[in-house]
Amino acid sequence: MQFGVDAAKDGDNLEVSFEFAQLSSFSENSSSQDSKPIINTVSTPSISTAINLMNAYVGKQLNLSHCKVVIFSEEIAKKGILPEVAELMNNTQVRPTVNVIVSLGDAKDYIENSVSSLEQVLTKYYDIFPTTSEYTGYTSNILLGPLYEDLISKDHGAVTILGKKSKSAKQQESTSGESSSSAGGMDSSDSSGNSSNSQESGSNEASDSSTTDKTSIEDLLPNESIIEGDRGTENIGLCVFKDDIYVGNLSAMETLCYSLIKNEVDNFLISIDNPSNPTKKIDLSVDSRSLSKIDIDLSKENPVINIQLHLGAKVLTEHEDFDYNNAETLSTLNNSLRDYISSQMKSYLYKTSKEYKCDINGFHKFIKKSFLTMSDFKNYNWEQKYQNAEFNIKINSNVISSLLIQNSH
Amino acid sequence: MENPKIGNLEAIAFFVIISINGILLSSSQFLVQQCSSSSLINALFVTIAVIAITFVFCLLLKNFVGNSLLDVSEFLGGKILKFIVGIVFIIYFICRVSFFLRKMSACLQILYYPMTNMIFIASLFCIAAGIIVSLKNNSIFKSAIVLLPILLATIVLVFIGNSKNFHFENIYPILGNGINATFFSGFSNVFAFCGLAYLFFLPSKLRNPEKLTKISIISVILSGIFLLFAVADILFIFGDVLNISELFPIYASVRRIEFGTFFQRLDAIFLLLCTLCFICTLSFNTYLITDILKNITNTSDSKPFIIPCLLIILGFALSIKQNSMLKFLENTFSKILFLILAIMVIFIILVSANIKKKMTGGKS
Repeated sequence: MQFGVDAAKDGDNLEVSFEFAQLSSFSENSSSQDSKPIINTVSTPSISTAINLMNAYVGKQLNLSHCKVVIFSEEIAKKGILPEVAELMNNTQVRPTVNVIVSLGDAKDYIENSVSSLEQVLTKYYDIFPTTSEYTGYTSNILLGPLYEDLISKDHGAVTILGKKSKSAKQQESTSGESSSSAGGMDSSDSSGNSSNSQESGSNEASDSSTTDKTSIEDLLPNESIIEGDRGTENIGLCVFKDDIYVGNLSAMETLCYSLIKNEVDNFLISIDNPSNPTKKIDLSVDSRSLSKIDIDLSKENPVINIQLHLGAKVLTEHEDFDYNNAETLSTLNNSLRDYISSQMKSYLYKTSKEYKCDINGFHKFIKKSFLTMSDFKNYNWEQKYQNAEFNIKINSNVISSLLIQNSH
Repeated sequence: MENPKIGNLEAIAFFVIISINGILLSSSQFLVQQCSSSSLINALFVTIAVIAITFVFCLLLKNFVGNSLLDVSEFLGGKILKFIVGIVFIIYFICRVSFFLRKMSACLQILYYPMTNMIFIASLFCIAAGIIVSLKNNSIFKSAIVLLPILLATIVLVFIGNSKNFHFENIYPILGNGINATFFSGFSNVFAFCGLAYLFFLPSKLRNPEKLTKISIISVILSGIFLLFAVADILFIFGDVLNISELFPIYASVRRIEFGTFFQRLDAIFLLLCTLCFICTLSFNTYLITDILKNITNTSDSKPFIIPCLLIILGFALSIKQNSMLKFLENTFSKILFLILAIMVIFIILVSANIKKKMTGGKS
């Protein structure tokens, strides 16, 4: 099971939606209709009260040790999620390995749309989707336990998985919203809920349509849906928290930069401009050769953070003007790759320091060795210093060759 | 039937399991909270300090081979001193094991039996310990030999399993909360080796009492290794954000271990091992308390003392109503008692007995 936490429309209450997997969906004979999950929603002042009420409603005690994912709505995240996260950490059944998602829009909406056509057993899908971070870098495996520690740490910013409805879900919703509004006959609460949703989806749709002609992943804004397909939701990007307040999002490319520094991504794909023809792109399969090296110079007034990455790459796309047997060609590509990753990294890092003003990569851990005692470290006031930090990126990359075909021309 | 003499391995297992129980349930958490990032240095420092202390104690006991602390006390101050020392240590052992009983029962109640009254959980522990102590034939020590390698392997596995969650930078700043917290006030963390207080009641029961030094040093080293692994595990995972938990933090760290999607929830196995370790500790304490009572009252059998002793432990454990009180008792009160009794009193008795022996030429 999983549950989502929304802000209730009335007062300070929470609206907690529980999603239960249909037991029949585990059998081989189950149809897709049978496997539709059960969703129940309750409005209460706290998560514990919601669980208690749900126990009474379903007539059995819910066991949260099988909970895989907790979803918070954007509205709750903007108010601060520490009380809710602390409440979950205080629950003996909720495990620290539960994934945490912040959904743009309502959590309930996210849950309703979160069905996977490729994975009939929903719990299995929730079990495996965060592992995509290891080979795409477009999301991260954010767990409740470490998130709680980041939220209570003064020097550390926090991140959660960014969840949003996919294009297709929004389109379906706006179509059904139009037909229902023309048909009329809905109760007041539903109509108000839908109107706000349709407004939101309308605005999102406008932004979606503006991105349809964009091709590279770094151009896509984090609050925009990227994929059109059967699945109703997508988990690409991260939500950033300063203290426990949601301050912004990281796009897919920024999340990749975050994952690279954190050594969370093993292999990823990147598209760089063709050095000889900037209108065309070259796809590279990049792998991390060793752990990122972080060295922070505190001798100056503002900290200087030096990051060194060791990457290896192989070209995936074929171009007639490239001969991958030629060392000069590979060297040109290597320089382009280095410049590209370096600029993306700098852009990401300055965004965290100047815009979000929080150290989400945990650089403060690396400066601790420069101090003798905890009080010396606390007096340094890293939280303030990080906002003026300078970043130097050194990429040691090596474009080896193409993957299988060396030269098709 | 009387218990046969205890072998070297059995004695080592006895000492280490008592220390491990204390490290698991309270002292490792206290050590990290007190020293923060320097807790590993502190753990190493107290291990070396305890090795030195144990070595000195064993040297002082060389003139009393095969004699327990009670025999030495009798030699020094007659039956009155023997009685006083016996009673004082009985009170200490009862206090110590009662705190652990309260903590272990509370942990199990919170995690698995929220609807069950703690009295039932604690009573089950006492019944188990009562049966084991009544069995004789050194069954307590034999079970300890089986359990000890499992516990040592477990802490290493916990360390390996958690390694992907480690932040090795948590070791910095190297002096943590300062030199005082690490070395001077940090010396008081020798109470992590709580088995030391029990060790000097064993010589009269050992098959090879002349090997007490070897047994003691090996036991301290094994306990020290366990302490280092436990502290490192907590420090590398939680660092300075370790918050005061109702549960012991090693358990909290085990909850994060997942070997793929198949081997999950390993914390249940870990808690089972902790429970077995605690039953062993409770049995040891009961065994020792009843044995001391038998000695100081000059009775032939210790069996009649088992039930009253367990009832006192149970009553004392259940009388602690609040967890804040338990925290104070297990971290501050226990520590002071350990420093006074296990270090100072034992040292004074041993030194005085040695002086008396030299002055009287070895005649009691």
